[in-house]
Amino acid sequence: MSLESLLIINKSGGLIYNKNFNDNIEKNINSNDMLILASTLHSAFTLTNCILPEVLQKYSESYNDSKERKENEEELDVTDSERNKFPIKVKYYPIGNKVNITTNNMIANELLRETTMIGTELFYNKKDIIDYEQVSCIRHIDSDVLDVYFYQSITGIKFISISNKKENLGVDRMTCFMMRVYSLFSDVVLKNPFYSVEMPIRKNKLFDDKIQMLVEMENLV
Amino acid sequence: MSSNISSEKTNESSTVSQVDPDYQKEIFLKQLGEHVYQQNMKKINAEFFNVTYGSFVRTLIDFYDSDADKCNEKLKAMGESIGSRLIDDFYSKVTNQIPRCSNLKDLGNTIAYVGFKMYINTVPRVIFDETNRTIKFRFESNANIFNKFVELPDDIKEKKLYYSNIVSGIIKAALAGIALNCDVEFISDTLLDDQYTDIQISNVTRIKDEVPMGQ
Amino acid sequence: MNNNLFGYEQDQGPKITQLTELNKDSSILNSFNDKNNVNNQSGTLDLESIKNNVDNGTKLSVNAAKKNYEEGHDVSMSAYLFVLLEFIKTIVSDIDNTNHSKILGDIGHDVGIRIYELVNFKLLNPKKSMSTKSALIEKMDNYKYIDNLSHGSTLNISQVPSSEEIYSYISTTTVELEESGVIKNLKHLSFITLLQFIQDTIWKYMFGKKADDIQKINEDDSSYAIIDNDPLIASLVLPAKVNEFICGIIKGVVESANYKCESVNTQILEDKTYNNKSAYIIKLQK
Repeated sequence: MSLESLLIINKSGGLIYNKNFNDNIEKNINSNDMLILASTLHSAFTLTNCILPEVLQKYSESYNDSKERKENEEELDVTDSERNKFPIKVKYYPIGNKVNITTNNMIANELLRETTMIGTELFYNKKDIIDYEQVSCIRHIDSDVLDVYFYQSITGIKFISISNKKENLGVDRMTCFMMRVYSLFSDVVLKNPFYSVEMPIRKNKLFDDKIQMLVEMENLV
Repeated sequence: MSSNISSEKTNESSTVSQVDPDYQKEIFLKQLGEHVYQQNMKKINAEFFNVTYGSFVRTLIDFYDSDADKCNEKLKAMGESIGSRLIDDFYSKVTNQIPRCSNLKDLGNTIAYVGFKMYINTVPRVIFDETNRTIKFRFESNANIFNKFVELPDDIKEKKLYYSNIVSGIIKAALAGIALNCDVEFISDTLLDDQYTDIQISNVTRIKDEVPMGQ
Repeated sequence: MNNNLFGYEQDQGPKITQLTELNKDSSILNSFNDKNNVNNQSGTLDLESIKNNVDNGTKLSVNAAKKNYEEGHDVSMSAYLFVLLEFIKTIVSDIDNTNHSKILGDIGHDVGIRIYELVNFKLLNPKKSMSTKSALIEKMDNYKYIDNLSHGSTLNISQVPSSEEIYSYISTTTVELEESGVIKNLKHLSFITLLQFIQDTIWKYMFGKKADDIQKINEDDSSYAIIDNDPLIASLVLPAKVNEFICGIIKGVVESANYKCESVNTQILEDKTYNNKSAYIIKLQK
């Protein structure tokens, strides 16, 4: 029982989906509070990008824009030692729980049955290395009571999972979990032509079930 | 025998050092596309896909009374609706293994070798025009997976219906999803008795304000 | 030694050196080519080897890789669903007609007619014969033709040869067909064989798997049901609409096999393990 809740936030900071895995949360926090929490986390995420060290910003710009990179090539020449000062690049290894692999695979088969994925890479803890790079911004907030983990997709959809301190889950494991949520989201929700992008997800039973199944598969609840 | 092999090995390594990094990246993209398609995607019969697409397009043409302009427009609009959702599908399935595009040529290669490969299992030739800054995707005569089994009637052929115009909409909206503005259009189609099917991307610009923070 | 190791003749193409690394390379590409190997976990390719492969990037591997980029025989289900669902949305929201299910059924009907022709053509012109002539004949002799099936709810179909076997038998042998009784099945003189043909061959052609069951619904041989536990394209979103489309396909196939079909309906059955277990109920005209 370490994962408390999962939020999905769209590009402009609106909450589009949340699921609580602890009944106490639903009693004490109403949906309006959830919206405020989501936009607060979104702003915090955005603000950190503005107060980043100069070198890091330059690096991230050069990373993004090819035209500018060519023009200011000399300026942007960041040395390796400078890069190493900041946690720009995170090598990411999905954590395979060796004991549970067989049972997990069975749930994974169940999980992927109705989707369009075979999912050998992301869903069956294989030895494949997934290079995960997020140029800047928050990955993890560590407080006395709660851990908050962030994952942002390239298109700007943010996945936030909040967990209590009973178990140290680790950034890598949670990022992997949220990447899996991302692939389920893009498969189950975005396939529906009547869903308009950036709008809240309402009453999608299949998606709810899949998330519940995924959380059970990862032993997070 | 062993000495023979070792000498050939040294020859091999000398050629490796000459390989252009762009060229290597191209090969990497090709193999990544193949890898993702084989490993991550469930598959369905291509001919079934053709026949389904054809039947729906025919219904659309009937509905618009063989008005080719309206059909082209409608197909493109539908493509845009797909593309805005497809871009997330794409990124979640390549699972961040894909290198960032640093220039136009990269962009073209990525769309062709990974995008087209992943979804319709066909790889077009990429023609990059440096002076006009355009990218062309060229399908040889019968390679466009949409065009198989299809022959347009004469009246629609004269009005220039681009049968697979849905693709241009998809590319446009998908690129808009990663903050790139561009024009995508069909230039020629084998169904209109042209030699190749060409899709052109031009005027690629970056929308700075829409880049999400942290990417 | 295999001359066609890299997809071209040795005489015409560049010389192939028997280096160990290159052989490894070819095994990777073979695993790419092997379509049946997709679900095989042990035969999968890890990213590490791709990266190594790129680092070794020789011209030879590029030539071999080009072979893979010819026109394929399958596309991703993602693309299919995107296109299908978008068209369904267009029909539901744009076309001012209340009877959307009829339009979808009609489109499915068009697809069904074409698929029936395509499958028949493919079965009569196989690229490779499945096995040798004598083995085939022996196999066919083992089957016993029983058309009067027991009136149980589920048909016993284990004793009937599959359509592929029949067709390959026809195409490889010059035995008088009418004597052997095979031609009877080819024309689908009994409706059961047609049902089996849909459940097996057509379903495999479209979705890559068999439908799970055929059931007879009433005693007077007028309605039957094809049951699919996990319909491939109708399980993700809008299952009801997609099922209407599939009904149209079945109707098209049945009618182009010269049976008078009154209607094909669909129903989602309740099941504990499968969310979208669907039944396609075929009603014949009397």
